[in-house]
Amino acid sequence: MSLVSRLAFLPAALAAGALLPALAQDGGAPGAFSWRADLTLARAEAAQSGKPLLAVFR
Amino acid sequence: MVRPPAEFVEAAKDYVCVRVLDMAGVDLGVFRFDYDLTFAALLMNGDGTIYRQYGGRDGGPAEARLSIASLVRAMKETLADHEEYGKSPRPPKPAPVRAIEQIPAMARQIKAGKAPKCFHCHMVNESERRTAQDAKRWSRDSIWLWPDPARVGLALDPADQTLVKEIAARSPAAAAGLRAGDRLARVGGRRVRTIADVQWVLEETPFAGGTLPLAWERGGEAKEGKVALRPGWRVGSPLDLSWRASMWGLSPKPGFGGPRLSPEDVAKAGLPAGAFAFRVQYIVDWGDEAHTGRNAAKAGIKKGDLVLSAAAKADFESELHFQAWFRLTQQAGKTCEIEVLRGGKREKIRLPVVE
Repeated sequence: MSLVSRLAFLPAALAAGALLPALAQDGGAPGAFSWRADLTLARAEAAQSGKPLLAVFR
Repeated sequence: MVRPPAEFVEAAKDYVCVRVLDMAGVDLGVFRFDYDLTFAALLMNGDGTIYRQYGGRDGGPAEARLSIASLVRAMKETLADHEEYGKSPRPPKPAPVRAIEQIPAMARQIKAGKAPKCFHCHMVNESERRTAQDAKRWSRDSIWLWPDPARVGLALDPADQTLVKEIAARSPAAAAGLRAGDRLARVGGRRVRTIADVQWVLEETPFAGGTLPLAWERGGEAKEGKVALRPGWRVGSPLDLSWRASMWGLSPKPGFGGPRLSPEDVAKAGLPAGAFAFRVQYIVDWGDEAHTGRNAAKAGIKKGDLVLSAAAKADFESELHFQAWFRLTQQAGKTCEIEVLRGGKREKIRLPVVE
């Protein structure tokens, strides 16, 4: 990939800089949002609820 | 404390969200992704069907392809895939769980009482490589994991990941008829919505090459073409490999390394602005690779040396780039000339290359 391409991507890279810390925490008021920690249970919950699963690996 | 942004929290209401920090017990047959990544997301059905991959990187900044906006976009778009799938589910056939603890090289390590405290994602690739090497069936071809779309000449917009940003001249993607501004729809017959989706299809495409059908939109018009991949198409550059944790296990190794000099330190050292240099901070004196450090020390490498070039090559983009370059280009039994700056004087050190 050329240097020109890398420079073109730079703004996106800067904008993305907060993604990892932003997703590192549970957020907002208690109960507003929290990550499940057990993959097996989360998978079963997704299957039962009919919702898709978002599995983040860090 | 940094909170997840509101747009992510809103999109997350339609999902069951799980965050995995340890690969212990994770079924590798179900949760397939690029294990070298420090961040990867799977958007999937609870039955084990993966709709989307999200994440990925190249030799550039680690988060260049990651943003809340692109993740939320993928989450919203995937809801349509989920609904469509629900009309005729095709769950994967049940298979025995295969976790990192069952990979033979890791199983032996655990049995020897050397289990890691936490199983990091990248350990999957390392354990697979060690297993293949032990069984004498490892090939260098296998290091080119999850090929970047650049391998076929395709650069996608990190913020709008199906939008074609650039097509390399005379590349397979150019020959297929793709142009900048096109919107990629399908690769290898699979719907793609992210850069990592494209990598997923490429990961399943053999080293020997072949033909990949593509479908895209241009100005509302549907287009189709084929990407022809020649044998060895997955082989990238040392820079492509440089960010991968699995790079560290490859040989030969220089046996030393350290941080790249800051622009201020480059100026202090009297080097031209923008010059590459790294300070030797460590010479390997631990584990199975201690002999590589002893070899470097015997050749004359010292802590504090500023490494300027290797085999007359000075255009490294990072110290990791140097490490990957050494592993991919140097041959055991030969020598590599390392130019260092020591006490303000340039010196050339002939480093024997050892396995």
